Amino acid sequence: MFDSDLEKLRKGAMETGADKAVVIPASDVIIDPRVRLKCMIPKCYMSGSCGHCPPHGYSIQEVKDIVSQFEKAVFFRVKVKSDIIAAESLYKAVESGVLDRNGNAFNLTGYYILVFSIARILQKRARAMGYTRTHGFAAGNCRDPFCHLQPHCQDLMTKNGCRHPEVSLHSMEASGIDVFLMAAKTGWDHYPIGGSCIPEKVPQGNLMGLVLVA
Amino acid sequence: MGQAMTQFVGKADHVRRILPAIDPKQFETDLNRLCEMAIESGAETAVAIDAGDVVFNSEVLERVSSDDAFLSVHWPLNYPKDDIIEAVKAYRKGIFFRVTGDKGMPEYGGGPIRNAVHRKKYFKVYEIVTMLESTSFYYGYHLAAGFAAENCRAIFCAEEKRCLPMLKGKACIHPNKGRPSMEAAGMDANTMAKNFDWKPVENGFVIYGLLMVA
Repeated sequence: MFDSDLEKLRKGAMETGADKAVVIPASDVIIDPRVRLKCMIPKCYMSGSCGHCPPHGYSIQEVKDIVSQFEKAVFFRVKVKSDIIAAESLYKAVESGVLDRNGNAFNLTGYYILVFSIARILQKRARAMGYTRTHGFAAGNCRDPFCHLQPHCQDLMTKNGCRHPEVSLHSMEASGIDVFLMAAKTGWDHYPIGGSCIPEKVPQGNLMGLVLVA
Repeated sequence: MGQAMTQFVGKADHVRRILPAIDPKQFETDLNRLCEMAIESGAETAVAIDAGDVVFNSEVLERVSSDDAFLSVHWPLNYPKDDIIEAVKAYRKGIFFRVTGDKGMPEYGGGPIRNAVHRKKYFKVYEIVTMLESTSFYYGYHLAAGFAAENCRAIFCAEEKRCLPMLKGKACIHPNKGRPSMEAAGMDANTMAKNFDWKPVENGFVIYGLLMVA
């Protein structure tokens, strides 16, 4: 793959909404079995409810096999204000399944959709350049942004497969990729954010995605 | 939105940035503090251990699997696509602790636990595990994962007809409290305690918990 093409993809990530993006060797993708375990301890509310999330989705070995087929990747970041991603009302919304009045769940879903969109756009552009093999990873789960109004994940519960295969992707973390550590090694500030943190104590939040290209 | 959420613990007033590599001095300080916190919260003993000190025993897992009167997603641990031993051994350090039970407390195995006083003793282990896990997470050890004791269904969902996430597509109703137990993951806590030369306690009954930190 030509460096100039990779640079075009990196810039493409920035043009379409990422605030940072870097080209990395695929060998720098950190795959760690603890990451998928962490999706289940404590149990993420989507664990077991989405076909892309643990204990479903790719196994660690499957991800290793996928990544080993590629030489390079574009790793990108979408910055999210901490008063949205760490908002107390957000966690109440997650637990209740009802959008919060402050609109934080709605706004955050928009950021997640952006990560899926950037990854899909980069894959499409790479294919247009002639690189037929690409693989994209997004952030979080795909059920909230794309199937929130549906009673269940069709991929998981039926033999009909995913409702949105053109836009949906596995997330980095659900696939055992240590996105936190990759961000830190890239030089991006990243903070652990959960239901117990105070927005004012967290400088920023990030959502990240990855597109592998051969 | 797959971040850790907790209910047992207060707000995290300090959130550390994720570092590209663990600072050994800070890590040692943090492990000591986590041991102190476990003791302050009711543990009788707590020590920092190496991941290599975690003993897996197939007989423990067989015993859990055969104790199938009160099955749950954590009894035995539902981890079908990946290797739990590989994941646990990927950590460097953990905190192993024990809580004193009541005299005459039986081994409940998978439960149910009808005796409220006894249930409260197990509850304490979950509380400590959750507190340590949350603290570690905000310390910047984002993969911290806790293992408690017995079957979380027996502690938190004794009145429920079933463990909901055992139904495909359904989520846990107590994701912030429930944890897999050490034995349900195939860990031999008794042998670990013997290896650490932990003496029997006065009333003879102890309950073990483990946090894998980083």
